[in-house]
Amino acid sequence: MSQCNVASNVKKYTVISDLPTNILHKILELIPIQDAAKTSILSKRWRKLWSTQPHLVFDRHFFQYVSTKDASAASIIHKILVQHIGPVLGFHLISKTDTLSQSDVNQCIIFVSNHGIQKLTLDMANDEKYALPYGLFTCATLTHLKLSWCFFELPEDSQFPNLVSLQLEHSELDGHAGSDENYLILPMLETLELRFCVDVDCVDIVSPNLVNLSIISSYTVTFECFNVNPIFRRIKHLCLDGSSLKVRK
Amino acid sequence: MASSTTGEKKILTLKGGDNEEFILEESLVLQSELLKNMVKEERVSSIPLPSIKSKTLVKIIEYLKKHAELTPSNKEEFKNFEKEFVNVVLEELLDITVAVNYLKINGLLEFCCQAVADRIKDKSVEAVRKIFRIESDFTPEEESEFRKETPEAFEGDLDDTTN
Repeated sequence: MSQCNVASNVKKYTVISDLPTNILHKILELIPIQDAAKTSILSKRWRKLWSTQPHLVFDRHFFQYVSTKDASAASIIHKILVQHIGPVLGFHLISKTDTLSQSDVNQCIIFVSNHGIQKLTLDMANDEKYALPYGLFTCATLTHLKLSWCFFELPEDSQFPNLVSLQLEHSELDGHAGSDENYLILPMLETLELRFCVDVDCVDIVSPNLVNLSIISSYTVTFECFNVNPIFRRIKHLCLDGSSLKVRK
Repeated sequence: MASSTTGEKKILTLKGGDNEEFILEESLVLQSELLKNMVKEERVSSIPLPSIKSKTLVKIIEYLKKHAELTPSNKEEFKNFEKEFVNVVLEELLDITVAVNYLKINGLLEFCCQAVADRIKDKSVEAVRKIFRIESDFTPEEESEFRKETPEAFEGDLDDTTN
């Protein structure tokens, strides 16, 4: 049992700096980001912890907090990103009442897709749907994508090679301009959730590993891909609310 | 294979840092990824955990027992138990967090991290330094620069009596 004997002797006092970096990052992730940013002033170790914190969550509390300050939310997010060191594994913009401009959203998405992003959430209000930058479609690191009020025109032969979970709400998928057959290839996808999405059926979603499928809408969704892929062999959870599936022959 | 025997419940001894022994059913420790691997890979009946204080181990075993009894009908009761579980002095909470991380009890780790996070949020930098005994190792010049850069960091709840 050599593993057991490696552990050090019992220390008299445990201080927070005794916690390993991964735990301190987890703790920082659970603090509202404006408070987490403050910890960079505690000491050199905490300054480094903050600048390498791999999961960044900008939620409604953040936007609320910023609204009392002089600077704009976009400029603060931008500042945090440019000062960041190392990978950004999680990036979440979540506020049902606040908006960001299309160019600010683009900047963020392009930045994080170049920094190893795995989990991305864009759940912001907007007058128009956010158009996703093409760069995202070639992002091989992405595993979880959750989008609201987005519009994406698929580039030819689009694929998210490692995407495990795709959740779309009030979003619109559009095929590649000038192409009749549009495939969105999601070889690793296990969870697909569509809530009140329009025109999603113009695209053939190819997802041979799908386990959880949930569609909430008020009209029939027709997926040709269900003919192509024997998905019902794998599906374990199926939720259809206000919608029905039609398999085109 | 230690797990090949069936029928009667298997018993395991955990030995805390101060050599105190805790005898419990093997099925309970399977919630810990670390201990699970140890009992599955090797035939062990006693596991020394010299880095974990007995006091901390008592708490963790209490959690494992409660968690094993969790059913949909006593969810509320369990939630209250969890709340009380982390309602301890900071040092004890940190001890538990370090131990839970070492033992790899994932659900509890998340909960402990949230409890530590709750003690940091809404506090001023000065209050966090005091509560967590963090000494600034910045030069006075660096510190005053940060103060100018982020004056709001020095606002907030100065109250540190909750810890």
